Amino acid sequence: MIDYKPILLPHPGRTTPVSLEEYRQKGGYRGWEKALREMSPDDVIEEVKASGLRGRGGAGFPCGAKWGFVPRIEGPKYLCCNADESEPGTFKDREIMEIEPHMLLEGVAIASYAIRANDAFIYIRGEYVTAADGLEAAIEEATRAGLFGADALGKGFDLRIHVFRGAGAYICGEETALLESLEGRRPMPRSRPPFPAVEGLYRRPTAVNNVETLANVPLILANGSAWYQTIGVPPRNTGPKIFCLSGRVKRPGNYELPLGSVTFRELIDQYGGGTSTGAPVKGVLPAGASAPIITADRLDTRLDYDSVQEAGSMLGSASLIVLDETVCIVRAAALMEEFFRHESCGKCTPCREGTGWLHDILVRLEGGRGSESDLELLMSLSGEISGKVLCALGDFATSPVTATVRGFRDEYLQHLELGRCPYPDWGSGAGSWELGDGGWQTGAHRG
Amino acid sequence: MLTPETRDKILTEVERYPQRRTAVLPALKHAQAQIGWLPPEAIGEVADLVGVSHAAANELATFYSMLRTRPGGRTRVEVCLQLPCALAGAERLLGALAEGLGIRPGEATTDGAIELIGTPECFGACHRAPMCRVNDDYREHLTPEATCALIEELTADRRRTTDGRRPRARHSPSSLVGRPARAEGA
Repeated sequence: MIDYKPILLPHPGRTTPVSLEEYRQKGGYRGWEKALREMSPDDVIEEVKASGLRGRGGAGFPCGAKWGFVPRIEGPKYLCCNADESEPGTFKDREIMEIEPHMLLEGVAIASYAIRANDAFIYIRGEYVTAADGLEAAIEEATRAGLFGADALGKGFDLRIHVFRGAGAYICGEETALLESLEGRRPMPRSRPPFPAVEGLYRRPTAVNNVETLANVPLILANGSAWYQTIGVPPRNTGPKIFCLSGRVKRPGNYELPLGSVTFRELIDQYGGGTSTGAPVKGVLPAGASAPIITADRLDTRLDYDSVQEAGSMLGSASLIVLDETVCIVRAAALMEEFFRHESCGKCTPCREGTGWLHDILVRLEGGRGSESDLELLMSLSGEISGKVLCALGDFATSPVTATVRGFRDEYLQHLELGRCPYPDWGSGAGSWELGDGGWQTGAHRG
Repeated sequence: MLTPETRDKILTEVERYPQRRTAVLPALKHAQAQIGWLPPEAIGEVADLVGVSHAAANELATFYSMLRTRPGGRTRVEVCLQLPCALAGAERLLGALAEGLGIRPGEATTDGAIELIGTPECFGACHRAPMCRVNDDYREHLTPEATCALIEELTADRRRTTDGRRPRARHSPSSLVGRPARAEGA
């Protein structure tokens, strides 16, 4: 294991939120004070640009540059924090918000100041009730202390932070859908351009940043971009990253490490304690359901944006779901596709219809029915969705399919040869409920 | 059909945001919190209070999975079946809950006390899988023992709230008794 002390999640195992007093004792809100007292909004943007901080929500877009796109015009501007964390396998923002609410709020405040926004919205998924309640309490606490509100810290900047609770829709993590949801409309993605920086919330300039991204900002302001550059692999992969480790590992959980400091294998073996079954790793989904699977031959890839991309996938939100050799890859793909089918907003026909077809074909193949030509059908259908839709959900929805057909073709064919799934142990105990063509069926043992 | 308290809460939401339409979603949640679901009359009343068309409120009520336009059980037990939970035996958890509560997934008990749902949505508790939500509460690390305890708890709550009517469900589903943590083949 490498020598590193976590700074975003400095209290492993803790279950109660860090109070304002405790946060300030450990140097909290120094970055916010420094920004308001010593820096112009443009200075803040330059400092964050110099740090190399890239968006932690998935796309990895440079944070400072994003703020720089917000035009310096009169009238309302908005900061939106994307706390709709809904990607399968992702639970990092939840821990930041539940344990370190003030770290996020300080980041929200600094970002709002940088783009000159007086209203900030934290759009949090509706199921995260504990986190949302905690954030509201923390906002009240900090506002009473004069950190936010009218004339924050007596420096003439007004800041209102609103917690807005979603109601169960993965699509709201897509930034333009999030804005539609905030405006009280059906959360369906917008066509771009214009981008949110120019026309965002209420058609006004808006920056949208992920929770973990904003949690990095106070440290950059307090300690300087040069300090931040010493963490990770500069210039393109700086700073700490929280890796959500789940699936077939002995010790699942959030592991905060510098970008590029460990490989998939090291994270799984040294931090996750190896696979829970003892069987070898079959593959790892590096970004929940949304990025192509990393097959076992690529486990020595370093965990940073560029290395994972070179290995043919995406670091994304860094939600690693580990699959071992006892897991049926076709079934895993079917489960992920069911997710996209369920979460497609329905605006673009290829995604709305295509995700359902992909799911149906995968279920058929997993049951050992269908034919080899179904594999070509999966690939051609994926090609009709990816790149032909308004947002990334449609693109993401094809990666569980195309990456597993390419990487595990033999396993698909094995299902067809046997006429059943060759992995009968996974979740098919007597009396259990099985996912069949018509939904949930009882007692139906696969194969 | 909304109480004065609910109407007040909705009007407070309308004041809170730069544009009133933003308040439709929080307002619908207040209405649902009062009634348990969103009948068409409630959706219309919310729309009138916020000052948007009934269609504008209805298009939200029918989109989000946490908003319900049909009545269901008073207690909702929602099991995540997405990949990380599925790898930890979520389907067996759902089966055990179904057996223990005497209902099928997607159904409510005949007295309307408990509704059981299996969903492909992920709730961000993958490191504590398998899990379910009981209304807004997260129930994580549901080992067979914890699942038996949860079924006991749900059944006891139901007994208290159903006016003495006894549930017929068994407390320790056979699918859990004497089973290892991982699923077995049939």
